[in-house]
This record gives sequence, structure tokens and C-alpha cells, in this order.
Amino acid sequence: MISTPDLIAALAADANPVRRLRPPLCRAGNWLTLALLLLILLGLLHGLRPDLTEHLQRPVFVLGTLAAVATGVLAAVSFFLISLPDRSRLWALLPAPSLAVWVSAIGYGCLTDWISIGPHGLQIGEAFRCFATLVLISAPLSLAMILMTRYAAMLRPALVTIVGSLSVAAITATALSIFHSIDASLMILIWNLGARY
Amino acid sequence: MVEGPRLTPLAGWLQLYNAVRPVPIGRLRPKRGALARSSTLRLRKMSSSRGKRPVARTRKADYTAPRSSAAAAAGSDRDQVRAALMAKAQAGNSEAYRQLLNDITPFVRALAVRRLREANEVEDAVQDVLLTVHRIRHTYDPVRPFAPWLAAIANRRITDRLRRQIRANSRLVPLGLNHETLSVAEPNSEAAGSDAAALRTAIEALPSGQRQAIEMLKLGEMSLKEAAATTEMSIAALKGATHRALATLKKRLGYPRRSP
Repeated sequence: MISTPDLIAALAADANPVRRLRPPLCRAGNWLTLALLLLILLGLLHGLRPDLTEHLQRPVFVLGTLAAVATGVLAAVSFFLISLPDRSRLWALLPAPSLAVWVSAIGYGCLTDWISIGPHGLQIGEAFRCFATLVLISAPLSLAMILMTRYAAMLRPALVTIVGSLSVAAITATALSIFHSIDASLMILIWNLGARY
Repeated sequence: MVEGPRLTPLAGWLQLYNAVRPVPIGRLRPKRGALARSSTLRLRKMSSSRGKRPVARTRKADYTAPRSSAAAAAGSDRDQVRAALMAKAQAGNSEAYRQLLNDITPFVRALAVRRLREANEVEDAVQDVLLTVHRIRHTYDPVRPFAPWLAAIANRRITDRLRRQIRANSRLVPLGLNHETLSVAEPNSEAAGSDAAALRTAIEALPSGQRQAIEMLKLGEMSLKEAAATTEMSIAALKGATHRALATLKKRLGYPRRSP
């Protein structure tokens, strides 16, 4: 085993200049901008759901979507805060209130409509298409998150990944509730949080 | 050491909790005085929350206000010095970095000594912390205090090491005397039934004086003096009775006579 003074000497010799991380709020802002761009891009390619205006009349839908947006933003902020060693891990509770509102407004459409037998025989259900959208949004966002924290998240990996997944899930759910006609929130939560284990 | 049954999850958690339970700083200080004094940070006396909070949760709370304002000024000065050194190190100044690492090592060691038992484990933990500090030195922001940043890293690394240790220990069972005697046939043959039963019958068939002598001196493991006091026989008589009894037993159990 190398002795501690030798180790210190070796580390000091290896003291290359490093670029300091930007403040966590700034990093969260960057990531959310990326998410927003992705949503806009997808909106242009896919188009909004046809019955969106109708749904906007329903308070539960509006409340659920707003809560999902809030959860996504707050979880992203919390994620970048707790990935630093010296911030309290109580920051992980930041998205909890909006998460509670969102979960209580969740329906479970997508779980029931994977395939359907219609006039043209066996068909792939709407659920499959919304699953594709889900992957398309959450995969790049998760990847960006992992890249942004590949050095910082090692001290409490479990908590950090859970909060990060929550943020991705909330943003994906917002997108799906705008783009697709069935409610997929539950599937998204299961998909995103399950994928981390 | 061999692979053995694992601990139940509850027992494992209890062991982990006991291992990371905070040692009240007030009690630690006199013992590790040299180490604690050389650290820059003031450790708070935890008399009010003694034994309630696992150390893994401690962050800034461990390093709160020193007792006097002079000490406070000294503490915050030291912290500023360290923050400035780290800022220089981040810019690539290796001399400042070496100074900083030398400065924080006693503090890290004091934290490790509180929770790890073996000396080489402590030194491994110190080096682990130093390597981690090196790897994530870009996450430190010089406008924030240095102590909580370092303490968070050190506590996490030490806790990880404890967890690994406990996980490894829970799969090992030390080999004791029981394992050795019970796994081999010969040491256990004394207890084999037939011989013992025959001996017992033979002892019961002895004349009463001889039987008493054997029961007290050999089976009861009394000394000659004690046996003499109990039976009111003389020591010489007891010796003679024992000798005759052993001879009779040997004959009855079919042992060969000792050749002259």
C-alpha cells in the first residue's frame, strides 16, 4: 500500500487545472432548456393532441399537468443541488408537494390499451405509440442528466438517481398529456423509476 | 474462516447502526487530543443529541459555532485559508494543493478513527477520502465554506467502507473449538454410548467404599482432602479404595493387565 504522504505528493503532482461546476440553479436551467427544446421539437413533428382544448376545460387535467410541470422543474433543481456533496439532502423533498398533487390526479389509461382488436384484426394500441414517444423524450433527457453529473453524483447515488428519474418522468408525462389522447402518467412513472434499478 | 450462514437483514442493520453510531465528541477529545486539536474544524459537543443520530447524517451540524468569538474568528480564518488554497488548487497550483491536502489529512484521520477500529482500515479510509477529494475537486465552490464540503465527502466514504466491511463480515463464521471436535469422528468417540453405559454399570457394581471413592475423586473431581472431609475416611484409605476400584473396573471391562 502506498503511504499517505506519498499519495499526497502524487495527487499534488497531478493537480491539473479543473473547470469549476457552474452553480446548480444555472445547471438546472440548462437542462430544463434542453427539455423545453425537445418538447417543442416533438410538438412540431407530432402535433398537439386533437382534443387538447376540450381537455383544458377540465380542472383535473389542468391541475395534473401543472403539477407535472412543477414536479419536473423542482425535481431538476433538487437533482442538481443534491448531486453536490455539501448541500443538505433535505433538498430531495423539494418536489414532494407537487408530486403529491400530480400523483393524485393520475389516471391509468395507458396500462389498459396495449393492443386492441378492431375491425382490421389485431392492432397495436395507442399505448404502444405513446410508449415510443416516452422513450424518445426520456432517453435523451436521462442521458443528458447522466453526462452532467458523471463526476458529482457518486456520494449519494441512490437518492440522486431517484430525484433525477422523477424529473425526467414528470417532464415526459407533461409532454404525453399534451401530445397523446390517453393518460400515461402511471406508465411513465413506472418506466422511469423502474429503469434505475 | 469459511462461508457461513448470512446474518438476517435486521441483525445486519443493527450492526451497521452500532458501527456508525456517533461517539460523543466530548468523550473522544481527551483520547485523541492530538488529532482533534490539529484539525481546523471545531467539533460541536453533542451532549443533547447523544446517541440518537447516525453519523452518516451529520453534515454541517457537526461543525457549528465554536464556543468563544475568538475561536470563531480563528476557525473561520482557517476555513477561508483552506477555501483559498482549494481555489488555487483548482487553478492548477500544485504547491497550494499539497499544502491543503497535508492540512486536511489529520482532520480526516480523526473522523476515520472515530468509526473504524483497525489502524490500516483508518489509513485506507483517509487515502480513499483524499482520492475522492482529488476526483471531485471541481465541485467545490470557493464562495462556500470548505469544512462542510470536506466533511460530507469524508463521512460518505467512511460509511461506505463500514458497509463493505460489515457485508463481508456477515458472510464469515470464525472456526471455534466446536467446529473442530464435531466435524471429526475421533474426538467424539468418548461419548459413544456402549462404553459409557458399561462403565456406569461396572461402577454401580463396586463395593460401596470403592464406589464412593470413584464417584467423589474421579467423577466429582473432588480433591483427596475434600473427599476425606466428606466421607470421614483417611486420605490413605481413599487412595487405596480408588486404586482397588480402578483395578476392579479394568478387570471387569476386560482391559489387559499392565505388564510388570
